[in-house]
Amino acid sequence: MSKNSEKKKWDLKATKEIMNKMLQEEDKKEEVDLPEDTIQIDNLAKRKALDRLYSLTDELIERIYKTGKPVIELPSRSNSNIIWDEKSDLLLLGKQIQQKQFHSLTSVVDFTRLMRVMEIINELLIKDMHATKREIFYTDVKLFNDQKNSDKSIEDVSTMLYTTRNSTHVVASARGSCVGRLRIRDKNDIINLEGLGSGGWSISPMLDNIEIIESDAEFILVVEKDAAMMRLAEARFWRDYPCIILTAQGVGNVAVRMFLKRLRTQLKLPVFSLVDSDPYGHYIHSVYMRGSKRLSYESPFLATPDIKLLGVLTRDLDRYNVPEDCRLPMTKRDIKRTKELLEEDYVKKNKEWKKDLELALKYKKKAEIQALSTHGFEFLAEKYLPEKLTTGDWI
Amino acid sequence: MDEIKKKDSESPESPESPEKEPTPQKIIQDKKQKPKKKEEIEEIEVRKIVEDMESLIKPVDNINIIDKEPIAIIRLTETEAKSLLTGEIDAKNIMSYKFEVFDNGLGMNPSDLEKYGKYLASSKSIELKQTRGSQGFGAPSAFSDSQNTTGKPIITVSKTAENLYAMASEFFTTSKNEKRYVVSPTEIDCPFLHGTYIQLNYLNIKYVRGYVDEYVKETALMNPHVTIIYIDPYNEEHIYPRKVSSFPAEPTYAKPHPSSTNIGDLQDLLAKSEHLSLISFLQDNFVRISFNKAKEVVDLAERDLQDTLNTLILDNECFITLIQKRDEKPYLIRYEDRVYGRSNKLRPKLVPYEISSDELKEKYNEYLDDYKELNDQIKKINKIVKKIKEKIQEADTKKEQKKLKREIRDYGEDVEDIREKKDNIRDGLKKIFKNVKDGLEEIKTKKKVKEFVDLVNQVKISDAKPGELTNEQFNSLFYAFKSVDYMAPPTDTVVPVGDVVLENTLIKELGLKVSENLDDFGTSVEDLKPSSKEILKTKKNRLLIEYSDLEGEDLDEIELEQKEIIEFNTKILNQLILEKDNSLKSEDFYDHIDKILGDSEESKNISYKQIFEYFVENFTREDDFVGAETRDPTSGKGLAYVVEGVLAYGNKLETPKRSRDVLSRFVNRTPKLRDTAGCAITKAVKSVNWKNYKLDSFDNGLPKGPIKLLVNVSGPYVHLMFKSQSKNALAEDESLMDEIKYCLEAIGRRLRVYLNRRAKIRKKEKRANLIEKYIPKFVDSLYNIAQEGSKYKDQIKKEELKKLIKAPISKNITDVREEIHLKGVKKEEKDEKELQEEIKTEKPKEEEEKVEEDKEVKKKESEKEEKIDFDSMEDYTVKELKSIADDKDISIPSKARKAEIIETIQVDVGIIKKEEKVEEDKEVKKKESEKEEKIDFDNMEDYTVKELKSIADDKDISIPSKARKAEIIETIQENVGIIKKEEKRDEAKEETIKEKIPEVKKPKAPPTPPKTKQQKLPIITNDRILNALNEDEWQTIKQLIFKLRIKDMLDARLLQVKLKKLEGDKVLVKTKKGKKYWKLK
Repeated sequence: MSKNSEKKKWDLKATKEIMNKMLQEEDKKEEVDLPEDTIQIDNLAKRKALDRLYSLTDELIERIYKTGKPVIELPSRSNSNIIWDEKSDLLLLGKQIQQKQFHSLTSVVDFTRLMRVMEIINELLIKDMHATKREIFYTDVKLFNDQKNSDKSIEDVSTMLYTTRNSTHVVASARGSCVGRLRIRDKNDIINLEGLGSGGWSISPMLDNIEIIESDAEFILVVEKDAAMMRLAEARFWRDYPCIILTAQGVGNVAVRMFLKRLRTQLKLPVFSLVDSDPYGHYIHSVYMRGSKRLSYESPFLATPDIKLLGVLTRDLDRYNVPEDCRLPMTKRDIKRTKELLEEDYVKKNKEWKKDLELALKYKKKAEIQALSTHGFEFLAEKYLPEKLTTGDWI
Repeated sequence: MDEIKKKDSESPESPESPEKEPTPQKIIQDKKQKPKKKEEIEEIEVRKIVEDMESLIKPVDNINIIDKEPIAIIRLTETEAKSLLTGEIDAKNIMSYKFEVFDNGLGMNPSDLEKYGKYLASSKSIELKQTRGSQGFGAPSAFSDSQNTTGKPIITVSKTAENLYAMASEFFTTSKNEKRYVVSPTEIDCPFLHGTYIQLNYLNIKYVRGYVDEYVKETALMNPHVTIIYIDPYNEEHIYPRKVSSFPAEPTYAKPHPSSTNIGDLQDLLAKSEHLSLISFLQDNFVRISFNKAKEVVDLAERDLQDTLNTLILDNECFITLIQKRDEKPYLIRYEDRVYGRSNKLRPKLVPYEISSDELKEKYNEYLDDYKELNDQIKKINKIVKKIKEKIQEADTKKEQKKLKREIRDYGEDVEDIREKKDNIRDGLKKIFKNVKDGLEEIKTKKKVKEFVDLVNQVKISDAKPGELTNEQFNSLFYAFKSVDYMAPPTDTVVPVGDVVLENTLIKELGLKVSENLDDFGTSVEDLKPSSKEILKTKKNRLLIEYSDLEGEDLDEIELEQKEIIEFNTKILNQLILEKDNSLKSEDFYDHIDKILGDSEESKNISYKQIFEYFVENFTREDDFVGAETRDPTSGKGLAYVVEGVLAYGNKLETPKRSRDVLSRFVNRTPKLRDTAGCAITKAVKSVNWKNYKLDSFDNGLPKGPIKLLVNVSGPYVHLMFKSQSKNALAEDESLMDEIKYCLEAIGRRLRVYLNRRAKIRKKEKRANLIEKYIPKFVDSLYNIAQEGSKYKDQIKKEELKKLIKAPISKNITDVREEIHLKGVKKEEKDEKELQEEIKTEKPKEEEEKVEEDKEVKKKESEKEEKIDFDSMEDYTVKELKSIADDKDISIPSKARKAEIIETIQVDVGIIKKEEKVEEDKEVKKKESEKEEKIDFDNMEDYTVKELKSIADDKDISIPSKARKAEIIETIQENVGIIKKEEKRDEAKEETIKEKIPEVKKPKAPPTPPKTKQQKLPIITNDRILNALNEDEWQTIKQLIFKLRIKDMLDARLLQVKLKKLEGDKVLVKTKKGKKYWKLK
């Protein structure tokens, strides 16, 4: 630790600037006004969710007695019905309605699964319990066959009820962790995230029970990979630069994103993401920013639109002299993905981002966060991040 | 078997029979004391023949069908050959076979029988009909093979309906094409009205399964009008019952067509001809040769002859030779009136002159040069045409071929021009030489004169007698005969088996389940026999009342019109149109109807339920496919023929492992088992792209799958289409191959529709199964949720929910059925596009349209039935009938014909509601009362198609769903007849009754004879027979016939049958040389 004192101390000027700016903004209206052609999704209380569930079953029963053909209508979650709202910078669900018929070969299985999930959710809500998607899958493996199917049904049910998944008491498996200058309360336990060692605190999916107590962090850093997280944790990064570090080990799952959103809105801190310099990394960033397409209906509750892409940018590869052999050639799929990303409205709007992606496309190279380790293991924590945070070199 | 062996081991020449003699025979022998040896042998032989024959016929004779059912019995018996015959060879495994065949065909007249077995010198080209050879199939060869291998004689017995006795003989055929009789033709009694029995013995062959049995089986397929029984050497009986109720048309005689006539045939015909001129000869002997055509042929022959003989006909009386080289001398030959011979009068005489004057010669040469040049031109053109013809053979595209053919035609026109020029030259020469007197030098040498006379006679082929043609003349004639274009031969001489027959045969033979085209109410359907039988009955009754003088015979002729059947069906269905009763709730309504209908007497009698069930039952996925196609008769190369094929695709059929087992080839109904690969039929089948029709194919191109494919080529001249004399395979011929291909493709298209449809049904069914699988789970979940908080939680029941959801699934299946139904109606012409449309229509959006369509239908219907109020109908039907349809698994096809939809509903309501009637519409009542008294449905149930079917099932008789009721009954009767003789009698027709009644009831009750002709005939009763017989005298049947004054051969046959029954009881019988003698005990 003695060596630490020798380290050059960055002042994180740029970060502090936006932090202050954000803090000054104060309580700007949190509610986003959704455009007319999108669906209003609500965070529902238990009772209300149940009510919606029952009215739906009533409809179904009526229909069966009328025609014998159960039909369910739910907002379509196909690509064509996902709308990017420029104003709120969110991916939202349009008003297209998808009809699922029991008497159709393609949807009969779906329909049955849906019904089963509804039954489970009904039980969860009544008993006021939470279950992970995995758990739900295991309630009827034979029917669901694959967790993908049960996951899909779970999402279907929440859209059907026009509510968030959390309101249905289905939670994502906890796959994220968090460390840094933060104190929270999980029901009765007060947890200091600074003192949890290098592993950090696993983000609980049951965020209803979490309460943020205090934090003196100056920014929040979202890291794509566990490895990078460990590096930073080992370096006790937050001691030098007060911050909260989050990771979801890949694409941000609902719990992590929701937690991030909570942190962002409650603490009013700037959020930065540190991802691989490849299309997948950029995609992860975009998910934090505007939500995934699949869960677009929940976007308003999950997205952190003002998240900044800190790195690793393609332009950084040259700036920080990442050697050629650490840069990997892009596969065809990468190139395709990059091009797809460039087609997205939100990328088009962000000129710097677009430029960076185009640069990547030009080089046809990608690199991982770990590529920075060529300059030594400390490089990430001691040079790269502080420098970027200081100079405001982000997108 | 043992019996047969014993007999067979006896050599035919064995003088003594070791067997016990029946008593009458002993009496005879005693009486005749030391008969001549030859007679004795014949006596034994004849007895043996009769025994053999009767043992073969007995099984069918016993059940009394021998004179009614067209039947052929074949029996092969195997015995170990006598070592004597096989002394040199290893005696083991050498088997000898006795081949016996009996058929109750026309039989042969004694005079024909005389020729039977001889090689007939006739040429097939005189007059032909579509038969299997002139004496069966290769009888002379079979005979000579038989006697050459075993040294045993050939036994034939044959009887025609006109002869009282059958003629039996036993003979060898000799190398001189004569018969050497072992038993000379002997009259014998035999137990059938007409027919033929042949017995042959073979050695040096080995019977293996898979050829003879296969041959018989396939023969039965193509000849479903005959019952064939084959008893193989292992004593297994293969019975192929008759499958159709009518005989194929009798083939008509056909003259040969010039294009199919070869040089030998023409020569034969000419040699036999007694015509005076070639023109009449050609006209009479060939089809499609008119007077003008014949003249054209002869004219052309004459032209050709003039060139070959170098003699020009200037006119009928003047001829000139054509010199080949300048130094030859030209001659002029002309008729001049001279006095010669014994007569003093002037008579035309041929006088040859030598042209001597230079002036004439010069003129002659001038013309001759031109003439020669023209000849050269023709030669040139011929060469070119020949080349073009070769090109045509090689041409790839039809377009090219057409172009080349057009060229040839152009050249043909050139030739015409040249001929005209030639004629001009002739005329020129004629002008000069006709009447020229000077410059000629008469030739008087007798020999030379004769030469010239011969020459002239030869050139003038138009005057020649057909029987006396010289070689040159014949060659020229044949050349001309073949050069002229003829019209294609007439095709009415061809008798195909017929597609309906083929389909039905395969359905019956393979036990296929086929239910397409069950168009029940739009048009009258034969399958609805029970109902139509009823109308027929009522119609007859009505007519009987109106015209009291109607006889039974006339009644039989009364037939139903389509209109009447449709009307009847509609009437019944109208009774099912329900009137709305506002006081009832919808649920109660059905109970109400149930009640009304359940109480109705008539409804119990109507077995419509069964009929409808029959329809529904038949619309299943197990449906098999059978498609037959009979092409229109065509002709190729002067041969008229017709191609037909039938393909069965059965779910239960096995996929043959070998490609050759797929296809059965037939020519004139005769199976062809050899040389499969080389046959044009095989090649044509291979050339079809079966993949287009959703069929797999073997590597060699034959189709693969659970199929059976039969192809038959028929025609009077098919013998000319074979590859070789063995007649194993048809020669490749472009038009024949095309014809087969088109035929198969037509079938293929239908098969594709079927396979597509089947795939669709399977898919739907899979869907239904899948959906059904998920219903319980779904309902469980739904129910569980509902129990927690739904407002309906107390009202719903799990089972009820399940039922409700299940209902539309079964509806889906019926949907499919309806689609098929429709397709059947529309002749299956729907293609994939339409199928897709149909799929679309299933989508919910279309549901509204459906309802609308329904409305329209109702509207239309209501216009017809004035009684029905449109508004109430609309309210009622849309809501209620639709839910009826849903509840009761009735489907309303979206594209159904309007009338049909309502009918479907009614029909289906009928099924479920036990098709009772509501109080009858006034309208209906009126109509009914107008027409006749109430319809009697009493017998309906007895004879519904369904019941018949179940009867059939019990008896293991396969009945195609498509079969008409009459056919079903027939099939059953037939089969029952063969299996159980007794049952046959119950259902027997008048003929049987006629025979039966007198013997049971004795003379008192003469049967109601349907035919006046037989009414007048004496009735043969047992009493009368017994009266005619006496105790002292042995009488032949001839004597009895005389005594009983029998004039009709059928009655004679009846007498024979009765005598047989009386034998042993009251009457004694003895047999001598096959003839039976009777006397009273």
